[in-house]
Amino acid sequence: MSEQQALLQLTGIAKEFPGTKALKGVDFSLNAGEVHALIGENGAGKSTLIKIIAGLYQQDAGTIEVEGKAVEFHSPADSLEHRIKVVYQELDLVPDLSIAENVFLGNLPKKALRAVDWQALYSRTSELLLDLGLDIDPEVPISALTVAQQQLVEIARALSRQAQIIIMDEPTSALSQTEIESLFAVIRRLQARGVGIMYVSHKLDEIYAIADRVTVFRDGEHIATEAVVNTKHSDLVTWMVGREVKDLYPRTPAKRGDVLLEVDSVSGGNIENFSLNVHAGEIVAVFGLMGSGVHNLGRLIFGNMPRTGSVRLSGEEIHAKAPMDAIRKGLGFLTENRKSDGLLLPLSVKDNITLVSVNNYANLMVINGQEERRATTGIIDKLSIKTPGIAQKIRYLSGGNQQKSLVGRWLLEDLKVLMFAEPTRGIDVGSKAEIYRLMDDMAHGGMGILVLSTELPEVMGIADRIIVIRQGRSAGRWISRQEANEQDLMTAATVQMEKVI
Amino acid sequence: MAVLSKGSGGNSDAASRISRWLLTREAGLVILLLAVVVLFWILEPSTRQQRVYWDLLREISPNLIAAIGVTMLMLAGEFDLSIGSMLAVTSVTTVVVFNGTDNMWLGIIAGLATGPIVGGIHGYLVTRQKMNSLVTTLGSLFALRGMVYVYTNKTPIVDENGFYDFQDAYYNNLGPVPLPFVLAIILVVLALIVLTQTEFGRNIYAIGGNETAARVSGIKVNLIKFILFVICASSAAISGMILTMQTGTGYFDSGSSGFELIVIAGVVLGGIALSGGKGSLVGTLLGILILGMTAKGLRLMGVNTNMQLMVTGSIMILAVFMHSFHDRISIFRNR
Ligand SMILES: Nc1ncnc2c1ncn2[C@@H]1O[C@H](COP(=O)(O)OP(=O)(O)OP(=O)(O)O)[C@@H](O)[C@H]1O
Ligand SMILES: [Mg+2]
Repeated sequence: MSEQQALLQLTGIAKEFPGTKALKGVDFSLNAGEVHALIGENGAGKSTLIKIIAGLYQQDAGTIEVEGKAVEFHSPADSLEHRIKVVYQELDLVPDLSIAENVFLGNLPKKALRAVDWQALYSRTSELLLDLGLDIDPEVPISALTVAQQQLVEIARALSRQAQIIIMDEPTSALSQTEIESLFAVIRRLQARGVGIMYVSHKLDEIYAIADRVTVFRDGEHIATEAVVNTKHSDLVTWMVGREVKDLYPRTPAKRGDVLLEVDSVSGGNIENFSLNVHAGEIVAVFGLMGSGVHNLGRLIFGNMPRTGSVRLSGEEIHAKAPMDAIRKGLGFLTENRKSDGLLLPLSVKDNITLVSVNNYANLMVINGQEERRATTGIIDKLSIKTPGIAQKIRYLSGGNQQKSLVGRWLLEDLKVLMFAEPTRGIDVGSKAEIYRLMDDMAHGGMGILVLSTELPEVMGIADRIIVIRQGRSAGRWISRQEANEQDLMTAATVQMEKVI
Repeated sequence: MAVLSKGSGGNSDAASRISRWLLTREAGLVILLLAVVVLFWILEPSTRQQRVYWDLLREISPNLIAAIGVTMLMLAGEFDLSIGSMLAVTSVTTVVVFNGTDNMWLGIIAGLATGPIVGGIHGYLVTRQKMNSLVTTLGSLFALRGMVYVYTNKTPIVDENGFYDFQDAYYNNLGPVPLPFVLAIILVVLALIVLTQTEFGRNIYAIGGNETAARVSGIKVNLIKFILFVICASSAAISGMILTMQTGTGYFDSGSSGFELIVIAGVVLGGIALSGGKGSLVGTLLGILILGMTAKGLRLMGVNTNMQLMVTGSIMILAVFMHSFHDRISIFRNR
């Protein structure tokens, strides 16, 4: 292995942003036919490294070599030229154009007189898609696809340019288990063709499933590179966090109080007649696969999507179609679509964190800036949000730190019940444990917590009671975590789904 | 792990505070304004008199007042293109009611009331009927102007009573400060307090930053937008009132020479993002002053209007360049 010439070799890469040293001289190499995973805490510098390879940022120091030759990337075009393709954390497809146009974007097949050769465009796209196991009309617009399908389109785009290096930044954060499996099948096929794949993820199980080598960054520094077979799960965590994370799921039994949230035969979207309740001191989890309606359930309850049926909080009816009514009565909701439904990109970290609770710092309508800053700083400390200051624009935070800020938004409000959709999506192990601990604290403080999740280990780890949702209907209930096992939950969530896929 | 810089606290000395201020959007605009003033000072001797600047403040007051509403609306990510036509609506309504009732106050009230009415219609169409604000207000730009033309048959309506108190208000001063500018500054300060110190103001930025996020955070997005359309048309009505004072007539073509574009140009020059959520009213104030000073300086120099267009356009592009440069270098928010 060591004698083999690396496809991509990065040496001593450093990058500084105002207020942050994102990378402090890191190395990374990728061989042909290899899957090399890159992991690290939120803000460790993973996405920054990727953007440097993609030619979006220029490094302050260090060299990039492709097949042994030193290269300089001044723009994404330079990087593409060397057949490097990045599939970003945030997909960059044009929603209103067809699949085919997206796959060949910037590279459309042409006939004489530079006219687009539509026939070639569609037939070549179909071939590429079939190769990836996606049987779908290439004329369909991107906006009609699921996230998983969009991801495959991104990969098809890479193939259309004969990419030899494919980089994936948290590709599975919005995929279902089956979709992840088919993505892995695609990755293995690419690997067999000699493509080198750099794979960034916070899900350590995936590293074991797919990667050959793993590199760990911490705070912009290179900590370790090892063959995956030689590393234990706990090693990876320790390298990432810099200490051991003993107790990822610190759930301790709390006193179960009165019923707080009563959801009674709620319907809307693909959800039909769903009922549940949450008591004070309880963490209830609804588990379902992507597309099962598990996330829509939150929107229905919160009133952000039209519904029939009734939702009561401490006996008081919550109006459909009015999130502010829900919040005023003490119900909070962290959505799973953080970027489109959560972040205020042009605004500061502080304004994002205090968005819901800002009225708590206002006397006679005027905001008390000092109190607001104190509250924000408290959240930043509690969740270890990595930012140079509370006035930093949130768009410059790393993906995971943006997520944490949104979690923090709801911690500041005085609530009775908090619904978390995918509470730890994109968040590193250390902070995951911290968020679970906060949930446990909230339950002990007499709040009710409703978790809406597609992550089985998370559900198994923190919930007092578990409800499985399948195709918009309740598909099984477990009255305690101890009675449930992964196998049963998964079966309940998947049976019958198979024919649909 | 949380790396909080002390910079945002209070324990920084004056020098670092100044150097930090120099990095802000507003600092760039202040420098640009000073540069324009100094340039004319050198090139055109008549700009060396104090009087020129007091006149300037009087002249830009209508633009500035209209710009307050436009700024607030644009921060929430919406537009009102009809403000130029609003001026004529207000102007004609005011003088028609003067003549019909022989009562100055009734005329003023009626004229100002056109603002909330038109703004309310815009607000209803955009928030309830989900119509696009750019297109809706482009429609009313033509419709309102057409209404005024039809009603007046394109003849100015003369104030038959000759309410001199009304007309004097435009030319009177408070100390050395022109009365219209006093009003403009009071309104700017009020709006600034609302935008920066109240929840309502914070919510405006939130809506412009990400409307869905604002909605699921319990912000009454539709109500706030409705109010902003009313504020915007009302601030245009106040501008229309001031212009009516200046001439004492109900003028059908008031604001027809691109008033809305000049105001929006000032607002954008001041750093308000077209996509909403970004910028400050102080920027707007400076933007309007820069455009006003440039126009006045060129007029005093006797530069022809083609040349004026060219210079004004170049200054705008320079300012927008400054903003994008600022976005790249700055990591700290400033509003
Ligand atoms: N454009 C930018 N301007 C300023 N700071 C930035 C910018 N991009 C990234 N940073 C900072 O650089 C650091 C590394 O960010 P990066 O996005 O590379 O982290 P990451 O490892 O991908 O984290 P995550 O797991 O949360 O996605 C962070 O502290 C982030 O705030
Ligand atoms: Mg990242």
